[in-house]
Amino acid sequence: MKVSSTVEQVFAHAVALEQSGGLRNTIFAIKNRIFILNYDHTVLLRFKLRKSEVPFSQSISFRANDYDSNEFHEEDGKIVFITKNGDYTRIKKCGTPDTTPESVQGIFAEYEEVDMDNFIAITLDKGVIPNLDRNLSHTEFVGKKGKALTLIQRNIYSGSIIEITKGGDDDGLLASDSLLSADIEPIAIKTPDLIALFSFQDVLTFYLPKQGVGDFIKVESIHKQKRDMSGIIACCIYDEIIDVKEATKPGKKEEGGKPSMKRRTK
Amino acid sequence: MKYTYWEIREMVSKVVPRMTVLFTEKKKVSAVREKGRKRNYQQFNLKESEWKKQERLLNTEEINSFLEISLRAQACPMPFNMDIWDGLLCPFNCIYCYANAFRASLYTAFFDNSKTMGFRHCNPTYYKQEMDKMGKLRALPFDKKKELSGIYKAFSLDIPLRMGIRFEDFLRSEAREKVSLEMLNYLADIEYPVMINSKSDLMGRDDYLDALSRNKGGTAVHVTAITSNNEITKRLEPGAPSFEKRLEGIRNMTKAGIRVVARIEPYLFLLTDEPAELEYYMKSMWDAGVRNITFDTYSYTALNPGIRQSFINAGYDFDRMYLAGCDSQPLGSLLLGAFMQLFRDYGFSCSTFDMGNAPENDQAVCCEVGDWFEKKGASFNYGSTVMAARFIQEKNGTPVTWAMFRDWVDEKGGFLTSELEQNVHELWNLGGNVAYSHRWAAGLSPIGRNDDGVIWKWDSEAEDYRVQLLEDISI
Repeated sequence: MKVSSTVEQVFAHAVALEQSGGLRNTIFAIKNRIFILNYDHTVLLRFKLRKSEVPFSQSISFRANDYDSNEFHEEDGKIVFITKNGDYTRIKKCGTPDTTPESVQGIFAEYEEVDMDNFIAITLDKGVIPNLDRNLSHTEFVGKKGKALTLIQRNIYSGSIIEITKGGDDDGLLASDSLLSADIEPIAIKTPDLIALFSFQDVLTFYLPKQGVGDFIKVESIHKQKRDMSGIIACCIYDEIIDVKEATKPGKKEEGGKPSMKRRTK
Repeated sequence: MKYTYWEIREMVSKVVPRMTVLFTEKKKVSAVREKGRKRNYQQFNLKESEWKKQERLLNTEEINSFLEISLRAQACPMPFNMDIWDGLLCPFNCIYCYANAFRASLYTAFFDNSKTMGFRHCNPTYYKQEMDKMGKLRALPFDKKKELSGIYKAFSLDIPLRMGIRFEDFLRSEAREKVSLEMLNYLADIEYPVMINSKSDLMGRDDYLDALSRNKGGTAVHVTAITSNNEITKRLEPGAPSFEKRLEGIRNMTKAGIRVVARIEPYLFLLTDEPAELEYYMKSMWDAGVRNITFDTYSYTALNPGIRQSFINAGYDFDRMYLAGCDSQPLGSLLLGAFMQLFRDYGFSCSTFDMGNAPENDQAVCCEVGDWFEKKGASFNYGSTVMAARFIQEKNGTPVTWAMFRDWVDEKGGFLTSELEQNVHELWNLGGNVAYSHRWAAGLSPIGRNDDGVIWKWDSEAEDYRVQLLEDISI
């Protein structure tokens, strides 16, 4: 199959992210959906093809770094990229990841099907990125009921704190007439993950979980006609446990590990 | 300290978060990405008109090395090493250990037969012959010993030899071949002090106990046990003896009059610090006769993709542990210092190589064997930054110049090499590899300069920069 230039753009972003060290990605395509999953399984993005674009005739998956051409197919469990250069044809064969496109689609659906009343929407644009210190591992979303949301980075090496607000000091990331209707869960995103999201879209809506209802963020592109992107981000949380856990979906009990001893309050 | 360990742990947990994932999946871990050496590679030699096999072979039977001064000697008071055993992979397979990755990288990059090497060991006959030749150095007058350099100086001054620094010397193969035992018996015969690092219980066997206990030069054994939780031990150290097995070996050694130091290295934030497990650890060690413990944070060298993935596969958030317990030197040091206090409160004598806590150490020699070996006439590498931190501290508020420290080191036998003196001087003046600088020691401050560089001072009332940092980012 040969993919359109817009689909190729999505792939190209995933490849560029991998090569710039932002995210190590795996790409999955199934019918009219493309999924990009990062190596740590903390970010899963879904792109919907436009109606005018040809859906994928077969489910396909490959590691972003293997991407070689917009013409490819799967053959005997290998992904085969075909490139024609003048009189020559280059064929690159690569292994496929263990996770299937169908299972990734299922995981996305599980997180997507949650009650949005448990989330608070905020909009961030690419302009936030230059304010972030890329050397600091995490960026926190801090928000209390009646106050505006702030992004915080704590420098655990020097002792400094970066606070990012939109507009004046007191405005926060929301306009003053849009103060938070509830406390949000004290959560953070790995800074490279946050920055990487803006490679695909300049303006994004983040759906932040209200306190106590979950620890993942949904993200969506504002200009869906330009590129219909949705994403799920497993957040970082502030308890006193070291086990890797699966992000808790609202209404579901925490799976595995010990129950959280404490929740962070700011 | 201003805060208890539990308060600090909670505060750090609020600034360094835990990762969650959308779903879990174990990934394959390889010790190292191999460099792709060709197999059975041959080149056609035009002159001789024949194919020649091109390969570089590692001696899979024998280690060619001899005694050595560690590359960490600029900071370490006990840097005199003796390699007995070696192998591509240590069967204890501790997931936090980066030595396997280092060896795999080194051996697979430069040799064609590394995968067939199994275990190899030193040639004890060669070691003994060479050390016999060096024996006369120990009888030299002190002034003559000071003129020596490197391993000759270390040997002449009876700086304890260390076994088990790069590889475990007490595996099952040792139980069969008894090479370490042969060297221990030799060291006992020449009454040369020795210290072992190990996770094995083999040293508790009668023949090893005999070799260790009859050494009039002194023997000490560091037994690494980072937790008393057997489930965590199985996940972190899948091939190593259980906590109980190690305790059994320890019990036998302490009964035989051997100094056993429990070793908690690496200290792992939120993983090996559960209250009930700590209580059990302390009681078990105390009952087994242990009175000394040495600690350290995780090493910067551990930041390796394979190690990270191994932790994640075991179900643990490597990033959180590494960021809080190691990458942030102030936080890691603060956590460790307060953690050690829990053991001090129980009655243990506690020290660490972590420079931030060096002034709080119960012994100047951070291996917790200074008292043990000194009374038997052994010496140490006094020209190191750990000792520099202690020297400045002992001056109790008096400004300390490089010349004062250098003269003190000279009285003790001098720097082991002139290169080492240069390195330590560079660190004294805030240069060199910052990880080994005494600048991290809480309470030490540079207060001026003279012709030799920085003048240091110890202030017991000084604000702890580590506490200050944590408070600043906890707002």
